[in-house]
Amino acid sequence: MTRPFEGIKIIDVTHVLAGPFAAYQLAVLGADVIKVEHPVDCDQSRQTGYDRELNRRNMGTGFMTQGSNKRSVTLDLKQERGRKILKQLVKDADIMVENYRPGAFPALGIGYEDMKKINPRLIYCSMTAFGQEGPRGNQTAYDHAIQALSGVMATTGTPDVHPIKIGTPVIDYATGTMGAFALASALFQRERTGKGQYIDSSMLDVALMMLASNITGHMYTGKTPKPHGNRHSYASNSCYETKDGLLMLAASNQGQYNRLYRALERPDLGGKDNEYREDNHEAEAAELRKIMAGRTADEWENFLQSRHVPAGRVRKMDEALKDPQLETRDILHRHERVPGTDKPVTVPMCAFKLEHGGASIETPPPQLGEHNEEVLQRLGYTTAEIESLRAEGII
Amino acid sequence: MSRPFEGIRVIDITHVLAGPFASYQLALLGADVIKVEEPKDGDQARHAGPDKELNRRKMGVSFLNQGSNKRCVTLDLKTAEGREILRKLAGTADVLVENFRSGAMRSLGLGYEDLRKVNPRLIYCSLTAWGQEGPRGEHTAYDQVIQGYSGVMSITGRPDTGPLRCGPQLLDFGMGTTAAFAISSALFQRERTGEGQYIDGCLTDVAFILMSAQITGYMRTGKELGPQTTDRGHASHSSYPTKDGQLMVGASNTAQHTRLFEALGRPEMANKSYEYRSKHRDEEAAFLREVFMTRTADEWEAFLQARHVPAARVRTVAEALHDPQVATRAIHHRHDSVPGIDGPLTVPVAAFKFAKDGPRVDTPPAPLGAHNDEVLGELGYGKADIARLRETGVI
Repeated sequence: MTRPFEGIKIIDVTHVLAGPFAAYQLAVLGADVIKVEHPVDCDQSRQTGYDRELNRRNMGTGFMTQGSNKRSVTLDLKQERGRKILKQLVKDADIMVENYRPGAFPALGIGYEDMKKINPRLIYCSMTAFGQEGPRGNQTAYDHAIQALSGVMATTGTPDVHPIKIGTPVIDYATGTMGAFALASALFQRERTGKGQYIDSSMLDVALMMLASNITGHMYTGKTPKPHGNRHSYASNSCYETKDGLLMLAASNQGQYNRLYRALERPDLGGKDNEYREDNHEAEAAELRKIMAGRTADEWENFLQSRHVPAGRVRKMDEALKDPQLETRDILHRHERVPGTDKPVTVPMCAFKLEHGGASIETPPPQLGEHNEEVLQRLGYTTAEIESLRAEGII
Repeated sequence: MSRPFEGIRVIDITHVLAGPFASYQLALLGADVIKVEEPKDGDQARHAGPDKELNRRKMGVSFLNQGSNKRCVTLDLKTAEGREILRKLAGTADVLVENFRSGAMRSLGLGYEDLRKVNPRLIYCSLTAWGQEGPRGEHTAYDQVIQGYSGVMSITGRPDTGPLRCGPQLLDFGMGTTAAFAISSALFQRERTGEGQYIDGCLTDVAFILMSAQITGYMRTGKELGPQTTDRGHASHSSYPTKDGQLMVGASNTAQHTRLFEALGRPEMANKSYEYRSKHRDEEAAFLREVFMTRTADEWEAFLQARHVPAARVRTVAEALHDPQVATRAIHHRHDSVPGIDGPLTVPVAAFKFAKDGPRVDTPPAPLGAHNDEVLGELGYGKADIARLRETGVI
């Protein structure tokens, strides 16, 4: 079976994380993604990551994480001939994604209005910090600045220690996933309408979306959400110290809550309604603190999971990656060899499995401009012309 | 033009957050979503949220949040007749989403293999904590348990707080968005293959995707990760106290780094390589700490953004919502009146805009079983049949 986006061509003029991740999700599902970068001032993620030697080679792990299955072409879009090549690429593409400041691409004559004249079926997606318009339309930001501005940080932390930044660039990945969804929707829409589409997506939107439950509550009751650390309004749904580490307990609904106290042989603590649980949180938590200190976190996890009570030991990321459960998932792909690097590289792929035609990786993250010849020849450029483009710094 | 999923029918047998959010995104883009709930209490989200009176009415904020544009029917799937009605509904649908424990739907005769016989074009999406197989396949969890299990908590917090749960339910929203992407990909795939699909999505995969960059780095270097606080990394990409609050600065790439130090009157500190900046973090940070104390966070935000240096004052969710930028986005919808609740209700919509025929809210969140008569009527059940089903507790 074929993957969903085989035969779909994407011109990916994005850098850093959210945009490249969106294109990556379509690439692992079969799309032909051509990543366009400036010949010298390339995607900054090529120089970021934990391995400095790779950063120096423009193959930083920041780039490689979402670089597989893409072809790499360099183009200086500040030069007329560079823009001409971009337009030639877009002419028979299905999607173009860019994440520059609003107005930057229209000013260069490569905005949606320009491209739709060349290719009316084109789906053009702009990903920015704050959206295309409004008082902040011209402003720039990264994941952590949006975590700060949106209230994500303010709701993370304890009542004493906050605001705290979430450890992952969560807004970047969520914006990339949301972008992939918007693109897939627009492709499906085009099947019926035959028409292209413009998508205006923003990191601030995504952050507010992630805070949706807090926001609906706030707008309805006027109460401002506060950071609660690891405490939930139900005691049976909070985090506890065990003999040897933290256990996250999530006996949330009535069934789980009653099973928890039956399993702990404390039926006196169960059988209460949700409002009672909220109002008597502290008394219940005090009992749980005593009980949970009696065994190790792993013992509790096994004990509770075998009784269908949601619970998990709080692990480090590397411990979680070694859990045998992972072998049943397709989340990681190991590249034995990546040109430009000297050891195997393992990258996350996609957060779901399909019964047929699902995500797969065929090619490793490319070196800067690795596919210049291949792609330009396909557009009809001769070897001599390609040489001259290179000499003039256009590619 | 029409929205992407007009004419697409989704049977949504999910509860709590991730599943309902996925079907909500499809509903906003035009899908006919029929939410199926257990007749007595319904989705546990109907009983959760900051307004206790709404919880008592089974219209809790946690449900309202992603309840618009859906029709609500009740079915007791433990009765043969309830299962029969679900099979009939699946026969009329394009997509079915469920988030019960792995194996639960199969044991009811409602798994993918059962329903594909009824409808070979059906896209069936199962969302769980750990996936359908493996040693943890039948374990249960919520967002916070997987935050603990996957290492997301271990990299969030400070040395003095230890691992912290992130304020937003980021895995639930990440899962919902990922599922919406997976389903739209499968719908697009079906345009070419004509065949249905099975999607196996899980929270753990989503957690690992949200830590992609860290995972690729760790798998490459073997370096364990501690809390990713903002006083790590480059000094110009950190947070600082000001005269009146916290400022998040994101002068990340070389151009931004240069603009920052030039704007602060220290051109000799500008234009340094990433490696140099890592090595000289302390001296850069010492200067920035001193200088940022001289103005308010708002003043710095305006000063730096005007010079194209990413920066934002750390805000609460309520402050973020009142930022004038938010009004230029399509992120919220205000229902002036919702049956079953008092006063207006504002809900989040989608984190992107389409140029035309994009996400839109048409109808408010519905009370439990509000569309029983309408939907069963469409399946050919008469008034007497429906009354009997109601009496016997099947609906």
